[in-house]
Amino acid sequence: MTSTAARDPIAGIGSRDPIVQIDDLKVWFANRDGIIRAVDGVSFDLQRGETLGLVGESGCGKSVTAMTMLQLIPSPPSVIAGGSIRYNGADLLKFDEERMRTIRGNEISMIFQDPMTSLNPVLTVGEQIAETAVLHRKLGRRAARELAVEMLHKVNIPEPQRRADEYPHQFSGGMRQRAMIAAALACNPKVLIADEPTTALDVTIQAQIIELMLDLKREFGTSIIMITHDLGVVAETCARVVVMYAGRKVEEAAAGELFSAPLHPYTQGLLLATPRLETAPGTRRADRPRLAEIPGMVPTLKGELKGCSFAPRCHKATAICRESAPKLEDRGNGHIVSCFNCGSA
Amino acid sequence: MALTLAQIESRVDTEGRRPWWSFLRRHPLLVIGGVLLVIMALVALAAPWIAPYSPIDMKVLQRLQAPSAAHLFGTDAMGRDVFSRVLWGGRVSLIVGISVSLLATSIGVLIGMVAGFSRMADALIMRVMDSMMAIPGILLAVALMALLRASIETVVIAIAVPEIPRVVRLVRSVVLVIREQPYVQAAEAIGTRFHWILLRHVLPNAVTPLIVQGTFISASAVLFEAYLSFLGAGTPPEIPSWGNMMAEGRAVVQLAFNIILFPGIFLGLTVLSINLLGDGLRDMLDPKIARRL
Amino acid sequence: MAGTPLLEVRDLKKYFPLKRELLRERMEVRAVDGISFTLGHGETIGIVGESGCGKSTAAKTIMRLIEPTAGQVLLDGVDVTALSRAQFRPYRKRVQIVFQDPYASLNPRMSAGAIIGEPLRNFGVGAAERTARVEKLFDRVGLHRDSMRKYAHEFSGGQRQRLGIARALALEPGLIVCDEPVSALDVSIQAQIINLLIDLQKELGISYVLVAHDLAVVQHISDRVAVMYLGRLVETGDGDRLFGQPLHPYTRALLSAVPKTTSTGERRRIVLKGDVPSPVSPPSGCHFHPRCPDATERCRQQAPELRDVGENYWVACWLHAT
Repeated sequence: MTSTAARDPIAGIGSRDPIVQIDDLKVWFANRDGIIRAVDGVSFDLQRGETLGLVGESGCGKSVTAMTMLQLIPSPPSVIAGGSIRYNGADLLKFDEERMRTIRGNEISMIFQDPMTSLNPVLTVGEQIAETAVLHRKLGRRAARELAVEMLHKVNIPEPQRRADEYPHQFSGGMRQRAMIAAALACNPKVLIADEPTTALDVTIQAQIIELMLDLKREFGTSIIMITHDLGVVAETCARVVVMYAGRKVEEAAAGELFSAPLHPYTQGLLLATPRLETAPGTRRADRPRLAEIPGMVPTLKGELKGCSFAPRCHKATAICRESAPKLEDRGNGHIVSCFNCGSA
Repeated sequence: MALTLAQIESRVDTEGRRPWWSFLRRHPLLVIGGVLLVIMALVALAAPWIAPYSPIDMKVLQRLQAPSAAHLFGTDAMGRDVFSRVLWGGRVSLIVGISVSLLATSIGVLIGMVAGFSRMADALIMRVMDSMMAIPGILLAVALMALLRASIETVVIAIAVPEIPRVVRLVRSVVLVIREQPYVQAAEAIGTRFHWILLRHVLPNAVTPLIVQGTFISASAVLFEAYLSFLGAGTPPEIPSWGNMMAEGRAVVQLAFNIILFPGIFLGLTVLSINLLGDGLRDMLDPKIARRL
Repeated sequence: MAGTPLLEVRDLKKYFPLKRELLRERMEVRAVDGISFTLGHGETIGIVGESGCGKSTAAKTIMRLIEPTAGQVLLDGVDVTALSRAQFRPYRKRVQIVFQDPYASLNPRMSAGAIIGEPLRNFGVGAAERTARVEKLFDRVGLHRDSMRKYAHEFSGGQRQRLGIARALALEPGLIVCDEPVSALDVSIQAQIINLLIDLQKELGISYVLVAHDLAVVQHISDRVAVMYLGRLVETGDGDRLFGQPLHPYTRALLSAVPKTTSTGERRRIVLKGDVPSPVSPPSGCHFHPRCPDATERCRQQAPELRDVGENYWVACWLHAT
């Protein structure tokens, strides 16, 4: 499949060299209304050099999973109720704060959705990019600033020398996102977690940022976890995709296969519910099929859950689906699903 | 390391099932302040029945007595029972506290809404309010009392006027925010007339910060009444009020400090309870704090 | 399209004054800088563009939620921009709006029934009839009648959007302006709301002015499409034709920028340089020329007008001006 190779020139399909291994991760939130099971037994691997998509709607637990990797969620109210996150074999959940600090920004970096609020408004952009270098590489001020300017250049910000001394409010939304990418990659981390990096951007700027991320990945060889709800972004950037629903993983497959032959009813529903832009000449609106609806709403994540979390909304649900939660099974070629009834589409 | 649901639940108070006393634990300030205030109010209201003596009954032969069984708080310079006067004085404070709060809030809301909606009126109104705030409240109140004949009504007015600017500022800023909300635009789109938008959409959503502000104003009013009376510019001397009592007691403080002490204690307790109530209300109504664990 | 179109917009403008600095000339933001289009009964026009293009302002100006600076809006042939606010009030029954934010567009202190009933109340419908009509509206948008007593915060995002639609339907308008009606919703809920809007159009013959940034959604619902850039229309016409054979360079870049699930490996994509400019100081001539891969000197100096290139399809570009 040449398409996958083009998305991921470094790792081929089927190479098993995981750099991050998440195993049965459970992250729960305890408050006076009860326990919210935000992440409820999620496992997946990030292979070295690959771009993995983590997809799902709001409340599915994708962001919580990512933030837990860097211990960014305050610990009350969150509780790690089980599982492990191994980076190069060591369990990150067992790291103390001091050791975690050597990881953040250095080995594993993260970029966020809203560039407005993720850059500090009272520090210059150059200072914020240099900060990681000073901390982790122990660079002096001059060397750090040079690095900052070089990173700004790498993310295609014109006049980087001048821009490094400007403040975030002087940058546009797209430029701020680039600056954040520059800061994240300054110390050449092995893993980059991108949490909805393009959601808040206009579509033409989104295209620029996606191109940029693909170019930088080619240059630096970073492994990326791309968290998003936009299936189109996933299709263009990711080699493999994990689909999450209500705190659990429901499907995992190579991107091409996920979009052409999804197995889980939720994934199928999601794809049929998303209007696709048809730009082939001669497409007629009248011929376009009605969007398939997924009835109902995402369940509340409170309390004990019996059976498959998608069962209440699933048109294929049978008695067993309401009784016990299906296990994840490999259907061949690395395509993993958890469903009792997904023989065919 | 894996925990079960049950283990975690036992660690956390899942209080949804016991609303009764959990309210007390979650909002201690509110409850303490509220209870205290209710007690003070009830005592003041019941003064005609529970006061052992008439507050204006002078028995000169029994002046300046120390607290005793007959006179719980002693007697003052004219032989009047301090305890009874303190109870009756509470009524004045109660009336003043509530009236000032209502008056200042209602006038402030009207002016504030006008300022929030009309840019031109806003400029004028805010300049007036700023100049009023530049004068210390107590001086403004004294000046107003100098112009008006002393009575409880005029005391209320004199104390309310300096409180108005703060209410106006609060209401104005809240209105400016609410104006921009889509639900107000929606009301316009469906043909709702302006006065109805103010009444049904703006006002109800502006009320919450006002409630808290209102309680703080009444605490402030009770104190102000005492200041004014102490300075001789407040409640007419025939009417027993805590401020009046403390003013009279100043002259004989070395002989009988109970005349200042007891009204002072009651004054302090009342203001404290109102402030606690206000703090508790604010914590309860502020969604960010309310959701803290 | 026989007879008068439902909506005709002629050279509509909305300028916002900026605070005047001492000794400088008065500056203004030209949020909407002369747009024109027509819309028939039962039709949908989708207005697309990126942030700052003025599409939301345009939609609200059309229904006089924002007062226009210049230009005309004709509803069934009547120039409603010439009317005073009081004279315009009865026309509110004909044009309604659905807002983007399902959380902020409903008064948190009113019950759902009261929110939907308010438009009816404004135009003199008595309490008993109101309740009956509100119940029917709830049915129509797929909500339980019993939830009339609930408050807005007790509904989910998708349900709140249904409430917004029910409110817009209450006065039986011929035209509903939908300002980003699904962008704040999850994908699976979006589909529900999009289908609801389409069904209502089929059933009631309502026209929509749909403002959205998601091109796929626009393509799915719209008959005609208008592309805005910095307050001006750059291309407008039949949706199928626009998506299949876009003419204006901006439209082509916009369409190629949308990430697609059917992409096959390295895609040839037009990636625009630079940022979306701010409407405060727009570029000279054709507003798009600094980012346009095909810009000429003429583009820099003179702004092209919207020209009819055949069959009610319009483009504003020197490359397509014969």
